[in-house]
Amino acid sequence: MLTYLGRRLLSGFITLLGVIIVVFFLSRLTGSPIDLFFPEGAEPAQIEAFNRAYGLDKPLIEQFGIFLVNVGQGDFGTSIWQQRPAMEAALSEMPMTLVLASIAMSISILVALVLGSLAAVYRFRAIDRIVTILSLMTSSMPHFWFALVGILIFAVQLRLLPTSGSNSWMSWILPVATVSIGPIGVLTQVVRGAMIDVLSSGYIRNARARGFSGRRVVYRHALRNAALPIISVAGDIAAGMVNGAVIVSVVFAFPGIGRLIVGAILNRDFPVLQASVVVVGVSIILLNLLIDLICTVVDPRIRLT
Amino acid sequence: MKLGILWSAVAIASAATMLGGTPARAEKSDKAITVVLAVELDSLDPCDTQPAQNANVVRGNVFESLTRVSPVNGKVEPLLADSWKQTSDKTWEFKLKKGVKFHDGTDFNAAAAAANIMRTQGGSNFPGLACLNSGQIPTPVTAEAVDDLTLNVTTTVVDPILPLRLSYVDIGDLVSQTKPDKVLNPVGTGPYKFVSRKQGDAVKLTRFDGYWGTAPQIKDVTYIVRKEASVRASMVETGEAQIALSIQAQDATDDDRTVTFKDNRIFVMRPMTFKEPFKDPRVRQALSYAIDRDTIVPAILGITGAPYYQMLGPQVNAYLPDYDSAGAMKYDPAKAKELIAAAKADGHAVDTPFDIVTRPDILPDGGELVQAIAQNLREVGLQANIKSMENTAWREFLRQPFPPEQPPTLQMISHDNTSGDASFSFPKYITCKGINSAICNPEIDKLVAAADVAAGDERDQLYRKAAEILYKDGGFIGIAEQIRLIMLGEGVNYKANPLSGLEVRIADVQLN
Amino acid sequence: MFVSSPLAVASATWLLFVLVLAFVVAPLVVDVANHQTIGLRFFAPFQFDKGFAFFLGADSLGRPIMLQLIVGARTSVLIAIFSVGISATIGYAIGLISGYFGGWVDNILLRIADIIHTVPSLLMALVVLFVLQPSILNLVIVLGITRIPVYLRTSRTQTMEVRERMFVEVAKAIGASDWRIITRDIAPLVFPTIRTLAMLEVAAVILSAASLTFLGIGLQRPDVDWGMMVSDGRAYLKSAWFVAVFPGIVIVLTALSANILSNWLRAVEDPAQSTLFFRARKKKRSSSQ
Repeated sequence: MLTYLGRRLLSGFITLLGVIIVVFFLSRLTGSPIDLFFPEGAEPAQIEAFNRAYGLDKPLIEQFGIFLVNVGQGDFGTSIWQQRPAMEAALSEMPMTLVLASIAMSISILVALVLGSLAAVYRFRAIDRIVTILSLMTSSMPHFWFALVGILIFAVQLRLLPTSGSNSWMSWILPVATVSIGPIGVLTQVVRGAMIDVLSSGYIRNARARGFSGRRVVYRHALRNAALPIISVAGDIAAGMVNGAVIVSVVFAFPGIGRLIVGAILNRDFPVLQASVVVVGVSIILLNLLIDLICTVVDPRIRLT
Repeated sequence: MKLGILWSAVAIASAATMLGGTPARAEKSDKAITVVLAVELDSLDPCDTQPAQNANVVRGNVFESLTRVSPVNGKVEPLLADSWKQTSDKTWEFKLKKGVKFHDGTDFNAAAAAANIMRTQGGSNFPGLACLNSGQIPTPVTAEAVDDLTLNVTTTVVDPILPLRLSYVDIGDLVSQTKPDKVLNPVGTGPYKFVSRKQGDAVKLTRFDGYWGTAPQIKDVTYIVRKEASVRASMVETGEAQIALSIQAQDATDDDRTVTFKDNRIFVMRPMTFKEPFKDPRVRQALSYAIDRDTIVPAILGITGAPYYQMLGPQVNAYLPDYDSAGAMKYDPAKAKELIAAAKADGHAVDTPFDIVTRPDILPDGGELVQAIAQNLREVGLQANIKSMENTAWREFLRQPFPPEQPPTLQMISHDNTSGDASFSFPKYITCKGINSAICNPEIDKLVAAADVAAGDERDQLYRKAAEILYKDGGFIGIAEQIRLIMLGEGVNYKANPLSGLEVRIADVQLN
Repeated sequence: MFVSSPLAVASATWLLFVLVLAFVVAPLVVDVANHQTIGLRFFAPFQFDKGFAFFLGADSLGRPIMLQLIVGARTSVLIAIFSVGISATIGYAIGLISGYFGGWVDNILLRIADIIHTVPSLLMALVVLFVLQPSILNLVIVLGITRIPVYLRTSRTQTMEVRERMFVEVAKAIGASDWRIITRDIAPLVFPTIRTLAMLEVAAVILSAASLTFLGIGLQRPDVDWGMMVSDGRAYLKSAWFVAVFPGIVIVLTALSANILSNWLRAVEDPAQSTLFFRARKKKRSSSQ
């Protein structure tokens, strides 16, 4: 187990390193932050002094070397745009995204389990068809459209919810709904498929023959065995949520790392961009590890290779 | 019965006060408001207050300057400086107001004023400091305190509008002005003091009780940001905010909740005169004749724009009062085609494709306006392609140098000038060496250079002459005068003025 | 079987309809679709006064929405087909190699896939489209590259599973070359999974492309796709709802059809799964057991 963990962490570390390298060079291709901090027509001497102060005048490779050394010591530099340590900026935005993603993921899983199981148990009946059509529809809907229509209906016309921001618990409803709508659709399908597989297999019929009640069969036995594919798909989706709740944060002005990354890109704030990508990358790697470990707990047959 | 008469008397009396005249200023209250902005503030430093996103929050609220431009008549009037006089060509003496305190209790004096003026310009004492206000002082000035309330400012060239320039230098406390680091905790002299700022969330201000002027009514202000214009408008409707800036025409209401103002902001086009197809002035003139402003501007901009033909607004001294009726090149596609054909006959490559360089946020509904303009241009045979890019990339195309491999461009610019003086626009935009200039006409250069050091009527006339030549030469083509919208919540009173695009002084906001 | 599944028929019909519109009709109507008539700004839908083209109304510059949807179909379909094609092909091929050879080749390729997966796709898009110009081709490249890891992992896992099977051992024993084994024996078995994944991905790519253009990245007028149409219409939700809603509906219908069809394909291969395409007569049989 320990060697497995060690090996996974090592490969995760290598991936992270690769990501840092790619982001470093890619972001430099987008240009320089000069324009945002100087008025048009600034003196070349002033610009040079600025570049020197932020180390932007050295050749790229040298900048990269310095960057790596600093990162090794945990220093991601200072944000030019926000005038605070870059890592502090990234770490302050991450929790919101994690909370949003966790809530959305939990709701998605719960709803998907209920609907998917219902559809599987009452297979071929009306409820199954309705659930399937609905889940296909929701997984085909663009986030931004759902968000805008949601604002229009619930916030503006009905005045039930706030239009944006994150002050009250009510302002979480639309963002969470927007982020969950797609995953609910996908996960319901997966749950349904896995449950059908399991329900029609031998040992379930065995359990029924022995007289266990239907509900007990479903919840205790079937679900346990269907858990595997559900968990791995859920893991993929969760990683996607962390990486891309950008639309939500833009439309709802909801705080989160997605919005920080977009802002950093537009403001050419390389330190914040690099720090954010590292934070996101670490989260995704740890998440994947967690998912794999959960899978072994749920199904001991899986061997960690 | 008697009571009834009494009540009616009271009713009539209050009705009378409501109907007549302006209501008396309400007293200090404990009320708080929320203002929703379009763009987040990025610097709290007094030397970065030039761009609107910073000015909207801190100018006039947290910070004040020595002088200010009057929103009523556009002239320079005293603020932190009581009076000034020009003691020689290049020296000015300012007498400062007595008894003004900074938010931290320290005194405002000439030493602080001098420190601010010097730091804004940067230089070797402040390595690595990049101040956005430094562009307002193009040639260096030196400021020194003579005594506590007397300030001497020396310019390197003759500069008749120095007091106007100093209206752009905001004053922060002395200690902050000795460091090259950006100010994160702004301390100014204004009616509101800084409380807190949470990145990506809100900036909070609260009333400063030691303010030297009249105490404002509102106690606390919170500034939040929402990028979507319709969301900003919705927030005011639902009561989540009391003031929303930069509303679009489609969200405007018909009542007095929507306030309009003009801040001398003009949407203009700048052709690249050094490259085909714009080398020949006739083609540039054709650009103006080709655009049907009277149709597309009202349709697309609604109440946020009006057709316009010049580069600068009516309050700027280079404005030509009879240009619109006399010389303006109004919509005449036949004439446009004629001019282009004539240029072609003289051997110019008028079919060269060019890029219309613009930004998605250049003005509200700007994307559509640019598309309509592009269609107008194509209808007269010009090969226009739209290139909409984000701010930084757009600025690269705005500025010199213009490398030869760059395609020819027609740059879309939304230019504002609330100072009333063309020296804040012309040297940068229309002279040969101007950093944002795509035209080089020696006559214009001569006139602008002379105007820069002239004063009074002579100055105005010289600028106007330069403007005439500029428009004839097709250097800058006006499209629309922008009218800005602010949405106010129930019971909020605010009289917008030409400076409201930059300063939204909460002291001027009254709640019923 | 196909004919007895009305839902599959409906989906296939819709997709075919979109394809015809995209490749046959679009080139014919491009000029009219992009022609602005300010006087017709926000012309209301469901009237025939201005002709058939304006039946779905007009947008903020007076362009007929129906024709814009058709031209947008071509853009969206091209982007979807080509980017799915690119990522599926590359992911499939590399996954085969990675799964078959294992060892350090596998490790490196997997790491590269992880890296691509973790770099924010928005950053990739912004950079690519900044260094190059916004265009359909570059959008295709960005979407193609960022989605490779999904196919790569699936292909690799399947390859690893197939590799252990008897007939592969036999082939090796006979002396077949690696290349031959991969292409002749393993690849065809992995293909169906990739194909199903690709169909699912078509919907996802349409949505991703729409998100990018909605954020203002990737396409420049006169190129237009459905996502851009929704984005353009979002300022007018209250006054001219149809400008954003119609393209939104079309996106949902197209993605939905792609999803239903891929569902159907899976049902053909594994009938127990499907509810949409098989009658309840199966139920009678199982209850009698």
